[in-house]
Amino acid sequence: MAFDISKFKDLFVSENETKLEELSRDVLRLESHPLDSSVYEVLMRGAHTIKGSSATMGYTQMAEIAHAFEDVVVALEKHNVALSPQHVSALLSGVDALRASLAHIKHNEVLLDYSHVLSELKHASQSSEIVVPKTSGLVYLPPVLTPDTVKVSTDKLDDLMGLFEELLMLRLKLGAILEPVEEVVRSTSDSTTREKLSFVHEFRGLFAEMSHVLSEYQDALLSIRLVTLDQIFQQYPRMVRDLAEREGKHVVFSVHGEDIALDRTVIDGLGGALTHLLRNAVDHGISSEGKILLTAVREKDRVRVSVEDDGVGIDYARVRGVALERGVVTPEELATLSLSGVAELLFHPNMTTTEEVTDVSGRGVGVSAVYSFVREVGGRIDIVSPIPDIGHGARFTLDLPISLATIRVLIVDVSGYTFAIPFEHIVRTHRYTHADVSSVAHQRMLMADVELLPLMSLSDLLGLISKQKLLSSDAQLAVLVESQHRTVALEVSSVSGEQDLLIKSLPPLLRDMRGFSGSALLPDGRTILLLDIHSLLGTALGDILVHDD
Amino acid sequence: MPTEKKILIVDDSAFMRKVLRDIFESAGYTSFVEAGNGREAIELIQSERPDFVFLDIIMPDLNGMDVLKAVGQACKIIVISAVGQKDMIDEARKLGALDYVVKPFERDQVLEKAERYLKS
Repeated sequence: MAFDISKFKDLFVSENETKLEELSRDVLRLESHPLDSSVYEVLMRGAHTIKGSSATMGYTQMAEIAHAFEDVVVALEKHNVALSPQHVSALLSGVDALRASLAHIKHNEVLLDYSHVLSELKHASQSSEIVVPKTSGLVYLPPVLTPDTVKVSTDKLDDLMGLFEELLMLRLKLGAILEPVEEVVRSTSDSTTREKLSFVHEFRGLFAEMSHVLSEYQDALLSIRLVTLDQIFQQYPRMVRDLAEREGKHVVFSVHGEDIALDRTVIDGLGGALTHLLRNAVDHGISSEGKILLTAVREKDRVRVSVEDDGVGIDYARVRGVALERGVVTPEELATLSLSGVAELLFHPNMTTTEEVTDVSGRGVGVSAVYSFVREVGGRIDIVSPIPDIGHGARFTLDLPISLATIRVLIVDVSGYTFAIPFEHIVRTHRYTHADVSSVAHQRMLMADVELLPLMSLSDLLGLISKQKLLSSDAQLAVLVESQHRTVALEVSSVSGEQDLLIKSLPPLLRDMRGFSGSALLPDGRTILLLDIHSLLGTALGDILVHDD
Repeated sequence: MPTEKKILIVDDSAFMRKVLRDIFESAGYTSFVEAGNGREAIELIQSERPDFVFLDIIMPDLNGMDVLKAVGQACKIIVISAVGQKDMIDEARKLGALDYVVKPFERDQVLEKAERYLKS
């Protein structure tokens, strides 16, 4: 009596999807740890299980491929054949064929013929020198993985976040109403009025309580949106391997920090950005052999994800040349750029459309996408090349927020415009008079207590056309900001307080403007821009460097 | 039909355990325990005292052979194996396995073997 096996299809598919993911990872481990006997054991067991399940379901071809896979591993383990890159490729082809078959089964499609994979595997189990059938040079590019640790639909999570943002706005508006009323209570000397308004005190208490609950709510909401980096990192060993093989290069790839968690929204874009950076490292960083390192490090509320190669590094002269040729910068602008400023030009869309840049300057395929992603989530890119310790190579670091939440800002007015400065950059505010300002090599310097700091006009840095005449009064105000261990005094007209603001990405029209990293809505409904202190100071300090020459 | 008999199914694949369990359920068995590796299997054999064990050989964290070495003489065990493992089957029998089935197995073959040894 036959019995109906088809009802187990779902379990079969999901179990083996996981097993194949593990198998693929273990094949790569085999390549990096060829002497570790436990890897062989794990591979044999994995293939064996898939073989048994497939045979039971009646998928003969899958069972045969798994069987041939097992044979290759057995032969390698018994040292009947010596491990070569071709063996690894044959094993990976096996995994791919099994994966593809599983996908067909899942979607009730016709199973394709993978007999070529079967013969590749059979050949690999018998010979140390295998000829790999020439494929079209296709590289395995994994689909963008949707993290599955969050089991609710991500749309719903986004809805929830949207509603929460509205709640925060309401809180801000309530606070804005409450403050003037409290001011009335404080300033009145009339006891009857004061008594009538006694509820204001109670209102403040409830308001504070509500704020507290909201912030806990926010933490909880953000934590369910967190997913670990391994969900995107796990695809890269395979991708780097395939890319390197296609280019005929030998690349040792290592990954660190995959257990760090980030907001889903940040992770989604990060996957694509890292694909670009890793692809560049293989294609242009490494010449024939070298190391690529993918690392994530958490620093407070931010995560720094970097892609580092020990290859030739950035050819700055070439980048400058192409940037001028393409009209990306004027010679004057170029002269003011620091090295990292020049490196950042690589992310300009016009730099990346030309084949020439790719081939000659060594970098640039599609990396402008990386830049827009980073700006969108309120992050930044640091480029270091050559890497100081080794004297060559390049390191691209994406500095990203863990989640897209509120940040504390200082609201400043400059020439009639209002901007927000992230609190993380603020040292303090400082009042000064003209007597405190001197000039050193064309650069105005401010004596702020005991420190001599470069003094810069925020208005000039941003290229603002003044809406109001600067008061020529003696009392001046500066905000001391710090970035990358350098402190600068920024001249502002006035400071109008601190706020916790929800930062959104810049409106599309402003995305290409330097100096801003996001926008935010003030309680009174006005939109203000968030200053990107890091890039502003980068440009400004570049200026100083040139003047010093 | 010996419906009250307790069967232990040992396989690292949840899919294979489900298939086997379904086969037994379709024949009227109602009492099952399951283990995903050899270590769990040994523990369950000692604590649950199953009447019968279906045991996969290749598993993580103590394999089927380890289970046989530990408790092979103490209970009725049929091993499940894949094609081409004649040596393993011979060794399993030496260690106390009553019989074996080869994947992919037939429903009737599984039931027939189980019933034969449950009676004895």
